[in-house]
Amino acid sequence: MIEPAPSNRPLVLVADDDEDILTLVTFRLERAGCDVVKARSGDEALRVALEQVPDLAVLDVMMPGLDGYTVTRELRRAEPTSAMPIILLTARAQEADVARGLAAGADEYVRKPFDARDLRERVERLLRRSLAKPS
Amino acid sequence: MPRKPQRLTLRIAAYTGLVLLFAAGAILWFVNQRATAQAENQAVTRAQFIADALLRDELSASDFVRPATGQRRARLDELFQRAVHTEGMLRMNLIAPSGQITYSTSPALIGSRQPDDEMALQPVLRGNGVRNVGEIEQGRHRVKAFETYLPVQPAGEAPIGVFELYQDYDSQVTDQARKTLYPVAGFLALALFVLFAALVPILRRVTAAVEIRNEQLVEQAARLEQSLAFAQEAQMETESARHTLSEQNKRLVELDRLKDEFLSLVSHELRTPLTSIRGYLDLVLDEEAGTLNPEQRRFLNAVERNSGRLLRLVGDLLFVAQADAGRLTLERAKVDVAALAADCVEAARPFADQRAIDLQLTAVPVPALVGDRGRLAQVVDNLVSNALKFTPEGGHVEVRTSTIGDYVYLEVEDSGIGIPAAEQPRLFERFFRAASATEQAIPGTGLGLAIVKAIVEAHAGLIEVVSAPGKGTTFRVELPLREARSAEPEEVAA
Repeated sequence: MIEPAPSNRPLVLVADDDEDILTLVTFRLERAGCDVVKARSGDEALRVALEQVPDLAVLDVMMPGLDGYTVTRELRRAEPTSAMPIILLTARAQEADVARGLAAGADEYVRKPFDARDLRERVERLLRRSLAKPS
Repeated sequence: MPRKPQRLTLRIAAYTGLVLLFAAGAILWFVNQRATAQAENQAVTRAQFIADALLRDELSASDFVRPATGQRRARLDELFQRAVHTEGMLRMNLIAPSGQITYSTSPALIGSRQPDDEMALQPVLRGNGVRNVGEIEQGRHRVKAFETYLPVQPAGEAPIGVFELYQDYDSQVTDQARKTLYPVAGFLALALFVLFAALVPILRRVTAAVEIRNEQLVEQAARLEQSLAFAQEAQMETESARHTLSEQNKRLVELDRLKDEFLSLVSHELRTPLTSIRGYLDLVLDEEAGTLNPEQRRFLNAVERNSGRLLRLVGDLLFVAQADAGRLTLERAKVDVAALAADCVEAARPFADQRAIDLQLTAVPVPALVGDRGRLAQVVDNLVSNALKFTPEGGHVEVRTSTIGDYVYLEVEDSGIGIPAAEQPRLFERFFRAASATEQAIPGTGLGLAIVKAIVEAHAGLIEVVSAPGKGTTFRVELPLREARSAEPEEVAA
């Protein structure tokens, strides 16, 4: 993959093991004005996030290898990504799952199937909040 | 039963008799001892009397120096023969202090020494009488003899020799003692017999009572044994039942785990493709992939509607399964049921208008209760949409809220087709659909009312239905303002 040219568009990491959903989320975020870097597993998501330090991460919970909760905890522990906004995107809809996600350190918890407008609004709000702070 | 007390009575009578006999034996033995001692004393007295009568003035010191011979012997024979031939007398001897027999009524003994005599001599020579029981030869028999050694002493002088007298023990002692003993024995026997005879009826009564008690105890023991056997059997059954239950429990726990896994899987596996379907559909409907003509949009809207239905069905299934597992979690907050009802009625109004149904709200303000706003809204939504679905065009649906005491009531009344009484009990079962709903092709999954009931019960409330075919249906939900009947802790975990 070719390294994207530096731009002032925010960089968002999208991690999902389902290729169709990955493409869909990527499309929506790019339309919303973000650059997207994709990951297809938890391990890859963690590696990419620590290498490229994106402005925000959208992580699926149920992924092969490390799951979304674990990746969230690891990112919170690592210094460069400790304050990075994280949105968990998952089909697991039980309240206990939401609580677990928030306890792991996620900022938002979005249930699948997601509403495109709702996701865009959440991403924009979190980016505004984190870019307003000097980082 | 009549034989056994008889045997027991006999046994106790025999024991009593034995005890009495033993006591009698002891008494007789004691009396015999005393009577014998008394008879021996009499024998001694008799000997003393004979000695005094015969000898006092007749014997001289010379009679105790050497064996009597000649004239003196003849004189002594004359003197003694009369006495020795009286009843009970066996033999008489005169013994010198040296131990030599100087005269005897048995001539063979004159001049001899009797070894056992010598031992008795010393105390006698000091003036004391000595008595002894032994045996002597009398003709061809040996005879039991009562021997008395008496000192021979002139008045005021020391003894000059010893007079020895043998009396027949049997006639002089034993027979005398028996004269005392026999009347005592007879009297004793009579007394004991009377006593025994008097005791027997008492014993009978006592043993009868004892026997009855005994039988009762035996019966009791038998009963106890039986109940013990029952108890043991019951315990064994309990044990085996416990084992079976524990096995079943293990299987159920395993099944529960499998169900959880299945639910998780269904939830994930169905939602993931639905996410893609609806996501890409939205892209197309948002015209991200080019402009749609009206016909394309109409067709894709049908796809969108049905994928939405599928998604709701997945959600409902998951919800019912969770409720079944008792893991329905509520996000509690203060909820104004009247406001909730108003919102739902407003949301449903377009659909009601479309079908020309008169949808009314009679919301009396009610106190706020603690509950899950989203879930309670689902209750009102489900009830209202049911009412609208089952009410023909031109009918009416009314939503009412009220409060009585500590309870808030929500009623949804329709003028619809109604529910036959036979179907009402099954109305809240999962996947149950009224026959009329199927016949008239009214859409639904049969989960709506099951969900309503689960939510109401999670709020410690009740739901009931009043309905008659052709006259409409009223659902009435009762929710407590204070959740005295519900358990709170499960929500804390969420």
